[in-house]
Parts: sequence; C-alpha cells; structure tokens
Amino acid sequence: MIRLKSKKTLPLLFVLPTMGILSFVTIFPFIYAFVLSFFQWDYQIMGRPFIGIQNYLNVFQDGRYFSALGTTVIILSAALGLEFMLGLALALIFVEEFKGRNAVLVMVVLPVMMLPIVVGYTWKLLWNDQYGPINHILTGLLGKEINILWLAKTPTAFISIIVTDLWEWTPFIFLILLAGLTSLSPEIYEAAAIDGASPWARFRSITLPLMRPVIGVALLFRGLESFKIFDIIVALTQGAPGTSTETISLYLYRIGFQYFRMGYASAANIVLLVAVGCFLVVAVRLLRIERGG
Amino acid sequence: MKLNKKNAWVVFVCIVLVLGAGAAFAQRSSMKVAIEEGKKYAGKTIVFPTESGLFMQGPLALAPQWEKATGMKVEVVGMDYYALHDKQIAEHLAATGAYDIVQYSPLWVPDFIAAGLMEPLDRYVEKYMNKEDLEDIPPIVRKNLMMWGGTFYGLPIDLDILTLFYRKDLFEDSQNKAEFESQYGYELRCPQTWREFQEIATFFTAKYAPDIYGAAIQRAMQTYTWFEAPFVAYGGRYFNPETMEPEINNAIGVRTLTEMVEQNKVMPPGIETWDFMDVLSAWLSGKVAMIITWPPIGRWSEGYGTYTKQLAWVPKTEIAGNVGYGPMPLGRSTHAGCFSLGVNSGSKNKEAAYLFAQWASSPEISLQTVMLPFALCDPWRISHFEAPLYRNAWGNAGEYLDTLKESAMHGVWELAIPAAFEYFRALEEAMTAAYGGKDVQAALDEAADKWEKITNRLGRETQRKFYIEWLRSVGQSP
Repeated sequence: MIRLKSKKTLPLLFVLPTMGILSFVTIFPFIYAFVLSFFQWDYQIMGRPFIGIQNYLNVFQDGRYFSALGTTVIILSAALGLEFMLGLALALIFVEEFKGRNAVLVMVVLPVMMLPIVVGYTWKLLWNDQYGPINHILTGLLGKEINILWLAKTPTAFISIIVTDLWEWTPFIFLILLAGLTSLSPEIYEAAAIDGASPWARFRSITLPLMRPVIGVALLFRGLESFKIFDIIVALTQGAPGTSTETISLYLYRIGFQYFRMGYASAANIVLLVAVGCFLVVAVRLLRIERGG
Repeated sequence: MKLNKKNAWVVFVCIVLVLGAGAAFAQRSSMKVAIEEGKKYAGKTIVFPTESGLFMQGPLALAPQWEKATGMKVEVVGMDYYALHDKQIAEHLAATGAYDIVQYSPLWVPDFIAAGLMEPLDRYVEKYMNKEDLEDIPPIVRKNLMMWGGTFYGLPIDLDILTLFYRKDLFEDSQNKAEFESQYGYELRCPQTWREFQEIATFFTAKYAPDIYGAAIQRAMQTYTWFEAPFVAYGGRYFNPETMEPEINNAIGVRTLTEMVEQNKVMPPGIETWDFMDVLSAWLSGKVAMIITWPPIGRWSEGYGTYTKQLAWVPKTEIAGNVGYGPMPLGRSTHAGCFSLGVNSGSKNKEAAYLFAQWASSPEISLQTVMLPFALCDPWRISHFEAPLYRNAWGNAGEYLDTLKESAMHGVWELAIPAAFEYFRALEEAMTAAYGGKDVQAALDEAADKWEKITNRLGRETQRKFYIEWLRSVGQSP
C-alpha cells in the first residue's frame, strides 16, 4: 500500500510547482477578474460599490462592443480563410523535395518569427501612400498611376490589415500543414496513382480527408489567436477611421487601460471568454477534432 | 520672560537675524534654493516620466547638470503622449511607486487628481519658491499650468501654442499676389479667418500641386486639438453649463468639422494619416505654403540648432529666411498640450522631486530649455519672451517670440474636467470617421452620444461643477 501511494504521490510532487505557477498566472487572475466584474471599479468614481450583474447588462447594451466584435470576426474570417488556402498551397509545394528547399523554407517562415508590433509598423511604412512601395509597385504593374490611401479609408484599411496579418501568419499554418502532409503515407498515393486517380482526385479524396484533424488544429489555433489581434491594429490604424477597424481586444484594452473602468472591462472580457468558448465547442465538433475523428 | 534691557537686545538681535536670513533666502533664486536643498538628497534617484522622442531630449540634456550640482540622479523614462497619461495613472493605481515626478498637460489634471496621483505643492512653493520668479509667470499660465481649484500642483516647463507658419516668399511673390487678389478680391496675406485659410490654401494647391500644396495640418493623433480653437472662436461651447448636454454636434461643431474636412481636399493626399513628423518633413522640404503646428517647427525652419546630433534626422530646411508667423485664424490658437512637472503622491522622494521640478522651471534653467534647439519646450515666462539671447537667435526671432506671446495670452485652453481625455478621444474618433467619408453631423452625433454616456457615468451634477470651475479658470462665464 505504501508503495502504491508513493507511486501516485511522487508524480504529483513533480507537477505541483508547475501547477502552482500556472494557477498564479492564469487561474488567480481569472478569479480576480470575475470577482471584479461585479463591482463598479472606475478610478473616476469614489468607492468600489458592489453592483451585481449590472456590468454584464451594460455589456449587452454596448453597441461599440458588438461593433468591435463584428470587426474582429470579419478580419478573422477573411485572414484565416486566405491564410489556410495560401498555407496549404505552400505546404503542397514544400512537401516535395526540390533544390534549395531548406533555404527557401527558412525565408518563408521568417515573418512568423517577427514581433507583431514590428510587423505592424513595418507594413505601415509599406502602405504609406507617399513613400511606401506598394502604390509604386501597383503603378508599375498596372501601367497607370495608383495612389490609394490605404489606411485613410475603411475598406482599404481592412484590406491593409488582412494582408499584413496574412503575411505574418501564413507561415504558421503552413508549418502545421506541412508537418501533417509529410506524415501521410506515400503508399496510399502510389496505390491511387496505379488505379488511375488524377492529382485533383487524390487531393480531394485522400489528402483532405486524412488531413482533417491537422487542418482542424491549424484553423483552431490560428482562429483563437486571430481573435486577439491587437498589435497590427495599433500600429496600422489605431482603430481608425473613427472606430471602424477597432477590434474587440483594442476596445477592451481602451476600457481597461485608458479609461480604467476595470469592473466593466472584466465583465466584458468574461462575456468574450464565454463566447469564444462556445465557438470552440462548436468548432471542435464541426472540424471533428477528436479521437478517431 | 521679563523683557529687561538685556533680554530686549537678545530678542532684537534674533529678529534681525531671522529677518536677514529671510531676506537673504527670499533674494536667492529658485534655482539656487533648489540646488542647495537638493544636495540633502545626494545619492538618491528620482524617476522622471516624460514624452518620448524629441521632447525627452530636453530632460536628458538637463539631468546631468542637476546630477552634477546636487549629486541626485534623474532617471528619464520616455513614452508617447497618450501613454504618458495612461501609464502614470496605471502605475499609481497599481501602487508600484514607479515614478517620482508627474509630467502632465492641464487637461489631465482632473483625471490625475481623481486617481490620487498629484501631490499638492503649496507647502513646497511657500517654502522654496522665490516670489519674484513666480511673478515672472503670466497669471493665465500660473492659473492653468500650475493650479487647480486654488491649489498648486505643478511647475510649468512648456507652453504649447499652435502657430500658423507661412511661406513669405510665396505670399510676397508679386505674381501670386496679383493672381490671388484678382481671383478672391482681397490681398494675399497671413489668413485672418478660416475662410481665408481655405481660399489661400486652394489657390496655392491649384497653382503649384503636386510640387507645393496650400497647407498641411496633422490629422492623425491628437486631431481634436485643431478642432478646439475654431470651435471656440466661432462661439462654440463643449457643454450647456445648465444641463451638461454636449454641444459639439450643434451647428457650430458641424461647421468646424465640415471646414476641416474641406481643408483636407487642398492638402497633400493622405493627409488623414499624417502626423507631426509628416507635416514637419513636407514643410522643411518646401512642399507646403502654410502649416499650423507647434512652435519648435518655427525654430527648425530657420535651421536653428539643426546641426545638433539630436536633430540629425530633421530634413535640411529649404525655407530658411522665408517663414512668417501668425496666430491661428480668428486670433485664437489652441494651447495644444502644454506640460508641467508635479510630484507623484506615491513617491518616496517627494521633496527631492519637487526641488528638481523647481530647478527645471526656474528662470535660468527654463530659458536654457526653451532655447535648446532639439527640445520641444516652448517659451512661457515673461523673461523668455523678452530674453535678448533668444530674440537674437536668428533673423526674425523677435517676431517669432512676439507672435507666440500674443497667441498665448489669447489662447484657447483645452477642456480640463474629469475624463477630459476620454471626451477628446471620442471627438477624435468622430473626426477621423468624418475624414474617412462619414457624414459630419452623424459623426458628431455619435461623439455627442459618447459624451452623454461619459457624463452620466461620472454624474451630471459633478461634471457640471467641474465644467463651471474650468470655464471660470479660463476666463469664460458659464
């Protein structure tokens, strides 16, 4: 019996420090924020009265909150879709050996290693209508003067944000998909080729079904990360023109760390957490990312 | 004690000694007093948060002087203008004790007081400040940059006043003059009204674009600053003082923002995303006929100090000797920002921090600072505007200083009530939306709605009291 107990106790002892640290940096702040969400914590207002669920009710009446959420979903959907298609295309290219593959692979992956804020400010220079090269390149390609004010108008600001995000994060999806593709057995493809299956048929009937769990993981990871898009928005537009490109993380940052309405910001964040959690449950089922799925 | 002859002499001598010491103390400048008293804190370090970029070059240049004089170290920490507001509050609310000095703009004072950030300075001013040095500060500056509700909270270091700079060569060109007058019916001159500003900008853009545009004004960050002066000059009020209903979306507000949107059409393409550096670059390169911006650009236009390593990045001026100065049209210019130094109530070195602030704002040191070519500090003492050294710094430096002084005495002070920064950010969102094509009335209605929410959240009556107090402090009747 003593031996059995020590078998269970020893692993627990090894894991305890990590659990303690994790609890301190994740669970404790969450509990603190949850408690704070029931108080009117506003540095402009004396006292910190308990107000029950009033902060939560205010969230559901906050048009700007839902507008920022909508902006985030638009950017996420567009960027994620494009990143997946481009990432998959790159993975299909890189799954085959070719001369210089490794060197090119390193260059392709470089963007994801850069800090998002650095990426944002670099691309801000590229999108600059006076000095940035993008308008000049388009002028050269199209043969007529192109002077788009990329960051000054809402539609083009969205394009700028999505393209910048695409440049930075496509390599992330590419790497996950490449890992999945290289793990597929080549015999299946050989058998299909012998049976006369075309490349498109092999891709549709073999690659995609077998890659479903990997694709699901890539989309989930990237989707959850995209929800938090912040640095690129701050660097490129600060949410302007007006608040048309303000994402939910920027709006919540402003509420919490510029206007210091911590109680309301906590409630808003928890509502978002619940919403993202629901999205996660639905997404896992749809993508069938489960054992044997 | 019985006052006999011996005792009387002792008392008399003591009174003479005390009065003499007081007189000697009173005659000692604020700078010398700060240094002498500062030596008590030799070896201590005070942390000074300030605006990053060029502005912090001033503190970085001054800190070694103070360290040498007193033995007290100064750690200068830079951050952008918005972060300077947010981070000082955040650090204080988190009780980190990160900063000793508070650098603030007047519109932040109610926020900082609400957060408990500002240490009242009356006792220090009473004890250490030379009263003549205090008299050297114009009353309007003393009221708005040093005090709130009758209490001292800070010592000024920078009096920002937006100034109109124009290209004298273009304005005095005989052909331009003739063409303009024939087209518009009045003499080409520094614009007196916003209509004239628009017409002059249109004229130059039509004639010279894309080589030269009629005007350039930053429309990115802090764009609300350029709304304030014309709005107030047209008779606008931020709120109805009886009901606290916002009035930024009334006919005057709509007129002001509509004119700004129209101005964008004759400014360089992409002006909606231009910040201070973009305007500076275009101006110094000779690509713009008029700008409205902070005073340091006037100095750099003349090449003043651009040989210093801190300004090595500034484009070489192509327009030296061709720059004229004037207030914003209608004679009302915004006090855009401005900075004072206060003491953080959470500091463990309050007196030391105060002494540094007193030294930095003393007549001798502040004249150095406002004359530093690479610092963004602008003159604010009477002695600054009259200093022979400054008035002879370049050809028409005297005209430059006279313009700044005149503008400053009739300037438009930024709204300073609790959450002023939040109100202005909401206005800024409306303005950038309008620049992006949104209907001006709709944009301002949205801003007014946000203003209502802020007012309701903080309490209408509370905000009303602060608003009326602010109106009185800037010399307006409620």
